[in-house]
Amino acid sequence: MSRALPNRAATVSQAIASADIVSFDVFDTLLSRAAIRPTDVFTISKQALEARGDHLLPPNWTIARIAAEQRCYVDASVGPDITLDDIYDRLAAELHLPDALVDAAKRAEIETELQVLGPRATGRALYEEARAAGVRIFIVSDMYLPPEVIADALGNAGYEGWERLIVSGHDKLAKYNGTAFRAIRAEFPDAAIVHFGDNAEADVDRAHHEGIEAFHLPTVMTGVAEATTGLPYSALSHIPSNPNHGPVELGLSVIAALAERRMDRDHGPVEEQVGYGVLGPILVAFVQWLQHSAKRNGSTRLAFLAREGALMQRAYERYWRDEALQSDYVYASRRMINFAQIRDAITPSQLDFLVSSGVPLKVSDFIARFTGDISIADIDRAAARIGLRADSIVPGYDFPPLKSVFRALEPDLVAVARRERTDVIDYLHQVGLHESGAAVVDIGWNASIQASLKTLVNPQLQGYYFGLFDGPKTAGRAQIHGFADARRAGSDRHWIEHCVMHGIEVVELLFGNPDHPSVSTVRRGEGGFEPVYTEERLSDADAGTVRAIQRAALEFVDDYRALAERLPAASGELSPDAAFTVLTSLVRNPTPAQAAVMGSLNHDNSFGIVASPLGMPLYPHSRYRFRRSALRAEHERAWWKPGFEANLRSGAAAR
Amino acid sequence: MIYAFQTPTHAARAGSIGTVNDEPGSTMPRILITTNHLRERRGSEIVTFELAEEFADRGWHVDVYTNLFLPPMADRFRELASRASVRVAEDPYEDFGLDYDLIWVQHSLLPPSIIRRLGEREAAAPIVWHHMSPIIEIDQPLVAEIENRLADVTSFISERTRETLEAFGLDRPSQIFANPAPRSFVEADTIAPVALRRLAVVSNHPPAELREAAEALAEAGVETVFIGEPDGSVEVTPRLLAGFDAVVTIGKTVQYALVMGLPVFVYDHFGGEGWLRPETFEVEAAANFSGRSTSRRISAEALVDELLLGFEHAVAFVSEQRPAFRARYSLQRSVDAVLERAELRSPRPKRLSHGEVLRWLALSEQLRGMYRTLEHLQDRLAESESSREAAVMAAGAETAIDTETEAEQTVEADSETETETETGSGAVDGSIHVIAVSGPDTASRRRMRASLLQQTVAADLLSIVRTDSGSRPVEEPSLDAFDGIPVQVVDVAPEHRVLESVNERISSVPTEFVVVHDGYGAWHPRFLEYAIEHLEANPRQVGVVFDASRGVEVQINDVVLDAQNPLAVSRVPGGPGVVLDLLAQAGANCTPYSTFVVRRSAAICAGLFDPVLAHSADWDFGLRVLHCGPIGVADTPVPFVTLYERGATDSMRAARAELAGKAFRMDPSARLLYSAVVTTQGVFGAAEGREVLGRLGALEEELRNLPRLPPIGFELRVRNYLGRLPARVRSRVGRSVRGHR
Repeated sequence: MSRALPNRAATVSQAIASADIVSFDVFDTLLSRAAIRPTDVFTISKQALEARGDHLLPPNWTIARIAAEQRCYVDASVGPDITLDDIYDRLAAELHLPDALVDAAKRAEIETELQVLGPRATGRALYEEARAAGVRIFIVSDMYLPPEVIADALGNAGYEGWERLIVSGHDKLAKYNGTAFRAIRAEFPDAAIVHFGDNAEADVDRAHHEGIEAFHLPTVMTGVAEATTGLPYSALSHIPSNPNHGPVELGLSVIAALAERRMDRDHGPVEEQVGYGVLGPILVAFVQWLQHSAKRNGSTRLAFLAREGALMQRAYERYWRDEALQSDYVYASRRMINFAQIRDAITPSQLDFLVSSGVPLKVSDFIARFTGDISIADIDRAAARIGLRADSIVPGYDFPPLKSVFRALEPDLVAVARRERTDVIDYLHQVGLHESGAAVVDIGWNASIQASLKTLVNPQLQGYYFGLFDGPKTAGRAQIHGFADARRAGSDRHWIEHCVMHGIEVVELLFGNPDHPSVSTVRRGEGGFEPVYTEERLSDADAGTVRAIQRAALEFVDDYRALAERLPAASGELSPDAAFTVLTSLVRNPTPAQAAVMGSLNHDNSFGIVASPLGMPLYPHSRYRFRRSALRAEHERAWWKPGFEANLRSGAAAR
Repeated sequence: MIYAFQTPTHAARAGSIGTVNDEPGSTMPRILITTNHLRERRGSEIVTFELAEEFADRGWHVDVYTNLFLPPMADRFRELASRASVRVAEDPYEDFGLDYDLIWVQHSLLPPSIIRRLGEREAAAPIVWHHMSPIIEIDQPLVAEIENRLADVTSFISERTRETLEAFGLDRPSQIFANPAPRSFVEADTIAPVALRRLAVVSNHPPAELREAAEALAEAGVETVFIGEPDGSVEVTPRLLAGFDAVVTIGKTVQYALVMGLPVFVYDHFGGEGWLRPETFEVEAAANFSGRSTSRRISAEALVDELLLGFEHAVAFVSEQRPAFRARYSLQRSVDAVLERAELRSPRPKRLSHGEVLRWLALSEQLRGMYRTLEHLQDRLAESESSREAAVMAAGAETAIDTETEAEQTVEADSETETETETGSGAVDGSIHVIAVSGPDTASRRRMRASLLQQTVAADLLSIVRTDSGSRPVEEPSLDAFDGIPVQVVDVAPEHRVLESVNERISSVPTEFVVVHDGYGAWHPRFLEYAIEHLEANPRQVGVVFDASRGVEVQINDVVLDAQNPLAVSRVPGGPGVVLDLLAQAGANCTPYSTFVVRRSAAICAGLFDPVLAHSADWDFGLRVLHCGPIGVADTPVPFVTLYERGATDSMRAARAELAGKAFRMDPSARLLYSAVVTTQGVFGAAEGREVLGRLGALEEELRNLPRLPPIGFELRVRNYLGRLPARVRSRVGRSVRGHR
């Protein structure tokens, strides 16, 4: 990262207003690329060229291209002010490439530059201010690209009215050694000249040295601090210096560049940075995979299941637009579908479902999750069989005696299930789940709802999930497909084990639905089917945070889509590994700002009653100095331990 | 495989060792004779047969072990076995004991089971180690220290052979066993010729001047009869020779004639000194009457003059010396002398070290495979020549005219390239046939298409072999549209294998060079250019292979792209600018698809691809091509091929297993096809592969350092051997591998 300099003029506007000439740097000042590393252009251009089918470049093209440029700079017979032709002449010689291929590759690089370059909001604002002030505008760039290419890029980005363009490779006048500024000053010795650029040394120090006022416009990423950013800092901060150029690095580079552009135009609060920098990329990668998988498996209609499916559906439709398959948002929950599946008698697996809870509950609460029609007295009688009462609190998991209570109440429960089943089945038919080609989309993790839906309405139903665990419930099921599928070896299993399993509650909250509570079941009403909600819903504060995160995430989806339309298909596919890298950065190594925002959100365990913060200590860490056991207990209860620890370190606390 | 086992019927004769006792229940003495090959009626085969017959006549049980056992010699052994206790084994897995009264080793060959036993325990069987040529590698003591350790007596066919081969380091007591003649020749009742009326030329490769001389001799009233492979190989018997007044020959037939009292004119393709005379006899005998004592070549006219003018003196000399010749060149007496030797009567104990066992086994396996491969290739060539001729005969009149013209052109080409190697370029038109096997996915098909399109040297023909002609994604460029390159699309029928179609394309399209692109490779734009330049600069090489970098694919939602990490480059062992080493190809596949450009003639010579092999067909093909001639390693400034392998480790493992399986699966006749190198794969896989490989390397290094051996690899030595094949076979090899365009 380059240093940020304090600007000497009282205000930038005053400087522009009083200037005769305003000069601008180009790259990272007026224009920014859609990849944080300029070298990623070479990767994209290779893919663009090869996509046309007529040429192949060496598989390590990007590395060779970088090396050729570096050698040109240090070759006294060529550099240091080099041109694109110099670079490609050297590439041709070193790789023994024929002229036709070299020319094609060079054209591809230029075309790619023009596609990935766009205006930088800050630079654009200053430029327009200079235009409005009526000053003469010069453009000065230390660059190997031909001047006409840079001119085209400026024109494409809406920069008009500049008077002169000085490019180091072409004109042999550069900023880094002051020759460009010296030339301008020599030609206009008495003019008031102001220069804007992102490089502290070349744009500011050298300009000052030549008697030109200069302002530093550091890139957004230069100013990003780990403590305060909502971006996935540990994933993105090392990308500029990463020497590898695989699809993961390209993906991270693009994510970083889009995030930089977004913050340049609207810095936004931490929530939005989390949404744009973390949730957005994972949504893009997911919906790209979803479309590909659905088409490959012959699915024609996608039912996004409540509640997490709401965000997925929005992202899917915004990304694929006209190409999207028919999609519906479908009310569904484990409570609704699994309970409706109970017929004449409760099967052992249904009984397992009925007694499952993530948190300790009263016996009566276990029953109330399914029906309020059974009296406390009846529950008391049933609980008495195992020595409990209706208000006895029992563990959520691994408490087999509770099954005796449900067995005792089985006739009542079966009757309730029967009543609900008719409406549920009719509703599912209405949303087309019985049709051939229908598929459900949900967050995961065991695809248990799909198993019930297959029994209820469609044995051929396919399912697409954000994540799938590898276990008895998923083993051997060919009709369920996971974006991250732990049943597959390799990175899929890695991301489930090293990301999702460490912060499944974080993931569920990112995808959480702030608009309505969990659905208990559906009932036929006058206007059609209506959902029956449970009490489980996000608090207003949490809902506001989640909305902000998701809004920014969908903004990333739009931005990425717009970029992908201009890129070759190979570059447009966002590497799932890149997306999971940023998600893992949040889950495993959150910045203090991320931990403060996410850790304070309450997790309701979806099918439980009690909600508690994901990972927020009750008190600042100083309070625990002599209360280590209390701290350990809180840590043990925390859903999201890396967040809890980050908050503890930074001093964030609930109270 | 055991070919015969019969109870002896002939009366036994007494010997100094292994003396036969005719009393009931007595033990029959046993001899093991080993020799590399028993097929044609040639020197070493006949020596072996006559030796076996001699011992059988003495009442011994005779075991013969060989690497190759085929007619016509196999028929003669079967006939012998029908009347004596003789068995012939060519199965290397046959278990031989050490229970022999004499072991007679030729071509440094022993059954593997005996080699192993010699490493396990001390043995005392008397061993004679016989060498029949000073120049044929297979007769040279490549394992001299082992021979010194085991042989009680080292035997040479001539004094010159002894002098030459002792330089390899032999130090055992030795004898000359100078092609003695069997009893039937020695005891033949013949009278001295009085005039030269019928002259026999016994030669498998008579020089042109002899044939010219025959015409002149006919005008002088001398009938000349050529006896040998070019004129129909027949067995040389006393009865046959008795019908002539003199013999022009070299080698073994000289002794036959001498003991029968026939004058001998030593002359053949090496030249020769002419009539045997008192003043030249011992010199010629020291060179085993090979004609190489002076290698004198004279004109047809000079031959006629010498034959006519010297006949009388020659008759006088041989008549006078006949009793001495009968004593000197009697097989019976020679064997008696051998059996009388003190070293054999009291043989010393002998044992091999573990390392010696391993090295010898490896060398034996290699030589066995290479020899059998050569023989097989010769057979295949002969078959293909026959079928080609048959096809020509069957063609219609119009076609026949064209074919005749082409045949004439071929003859001309053969004539022009007479001095070239057998694998020479032949029709040097530089034409390239790229056979592209359509890959299973869009990425591989795109890669293949672009590889071809951007070549600086365009292929002359592109054959696209595809298994599914179904629809492709609309965005995928068509594979059958290439500007400037003729394309032929071949859809593989469901009942056929892809490689069968590839083979068919290679066979049916007469280009000079062939390369198969399997979709998993990406070519540098100058790949074909460099390949052709290399092969044109190295006409002796039958193919060229390129270093390959290993590309790693990343697949995201079915979109395939390069990982673009620093590349691992698979260098062909030995490095650029050299020839591919057989050992290197034995250890790993150095000729994967897309990296190997081969002369079509060599591809055909090698028998094309084995369609049955799913994982190792390219490896197997490379091995067999390597036996047709050297394969060069391209010297490129950067890797010119990138191979995208999926599950490379697994596929390599599968290839190794498949190759080893192929070797072990074959029946003996089909096993001819296979090289010892491949058989060695089984050894590698079975146990101690690294040790075997290391020792093979050490052995090869030793061999390279031996005096008198050129510093070249085995493969070139095989090619040298190929150069000494009979003209009949060599010409076929030459014609076939030079191409027909």
